[in-house]
Amino acid sequence: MLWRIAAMMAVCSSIAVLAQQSSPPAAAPSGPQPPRLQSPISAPQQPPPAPLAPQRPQLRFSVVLDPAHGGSDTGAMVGDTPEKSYTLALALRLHVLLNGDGIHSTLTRENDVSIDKIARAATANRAYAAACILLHATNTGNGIHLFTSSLPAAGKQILADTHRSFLPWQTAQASYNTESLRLESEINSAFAQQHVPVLLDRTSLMPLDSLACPAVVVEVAPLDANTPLSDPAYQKKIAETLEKAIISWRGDWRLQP
Amino acid sequence: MIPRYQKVILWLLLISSVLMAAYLIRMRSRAQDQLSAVPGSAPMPAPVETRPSQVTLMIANDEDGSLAPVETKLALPTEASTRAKTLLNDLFTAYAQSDSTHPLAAVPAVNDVFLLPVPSGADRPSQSGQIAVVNLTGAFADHHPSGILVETLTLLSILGTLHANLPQITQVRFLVDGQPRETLAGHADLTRTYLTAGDVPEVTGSAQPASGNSSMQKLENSQ
Repeated sequence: MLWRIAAMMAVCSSIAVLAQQSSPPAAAPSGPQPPRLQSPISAPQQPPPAPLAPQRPQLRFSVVLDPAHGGSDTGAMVGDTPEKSYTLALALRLHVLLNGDGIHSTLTRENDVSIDKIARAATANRAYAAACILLHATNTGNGIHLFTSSLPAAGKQILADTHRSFLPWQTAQASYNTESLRLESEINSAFAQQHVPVLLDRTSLMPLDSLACPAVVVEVAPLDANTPLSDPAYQKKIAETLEKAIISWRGDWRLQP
Repeated sequence: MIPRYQKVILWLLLISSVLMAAYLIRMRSRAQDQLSAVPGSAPMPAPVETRPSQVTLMIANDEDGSLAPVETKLALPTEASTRAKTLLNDLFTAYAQSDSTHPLAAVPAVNDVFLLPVPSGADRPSQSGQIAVVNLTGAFADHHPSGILVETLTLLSILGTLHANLPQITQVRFLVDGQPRETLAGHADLTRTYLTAGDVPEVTGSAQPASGNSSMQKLENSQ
């Protein structure tokens, strides 16, 4: 019994000694003290940090492919094929190519269904994509027609707050005009290397104007009088050129602020 | 020998016919008096012979996506909205020609053009000019070729032609058969207000492969 009491007293005393060594002295010792940085005795009350506005999540490089039309909306007739079928086939081919390169891509539709333009924009905006490619086809003209939004560029304040604030639905693309033009230039260069004629224009088109991502409309026309849209080699060339452009954009996109 | 009662009936019918004729003449003259008494019923102005004036049509080219000004002479009415309608109809007549660079179906294209003052709001205090509401025909929209380039060129051609000849028109909206319509033929947005002021279409040469320069006029939208 005495042994246990002695042991407990020893433990208590050692704890008391340790506590005394770690606690600051109760009174300032007399005599000169070595200079040291003095912390303020009473620091001003700092306001709690304001909650940050929701930031755009930093996701991996991903691409949204939007095959235009679908279902009852057949689009134009390109030869014997409705535009909806052509754009879907091109999108699926490009989707496979990009997956092979390790680039995540999202399709706004994967089969022949009618999808509202608002739903397409919603799908693209949820993906926080680094590039949105809208695919169309036509018999008019030749080569590739590239379009960006005709919306005037957003003001500096809006540009600065692009990733922090809500954007007007119908003019969301205005905040991405500069990036969209860069993406268009990337695609233009890729087709130039393949000697495919390109026409660069601006247009007002839904859902392009509602996209919150660098977005370009790619309208495919026959290469020339002897190369219709149905030419398998031409289709392959278009898909592979777009793949190269997107791979190139991946490098440039990382360099952008 | 005619019976007496038949003679009486005959005379009665004759008298009633004369009375009815007199009544109708009286009513007709009264109706004419009432019509002439209505204020504002001034007689229609006599047709005035107008001299052909030089106008500029912005003609689209599907091959290179360009718009080129074409000078021509037209006898245009003096009233602005009728003038705009005549201009557009002449533009689409040119597109219906067999050698057109932007071939469109030969159907009536424009029902009406209405000119209104641009509404000013709190965010737009100093709006000037007029807004043109172009009411296209359903047949025109239904027969229009489908495609982004071809539809955009049609809209740009309308905007450019209106702006070149009626510079007071600064904005344009579109209706089809009096109703709003989402797209012209599946692509170009018809729900927007298009600005024309300060956006004179560029005149470009032939398209170059991957030239890197936009060959078309910039469309701006007013929200």
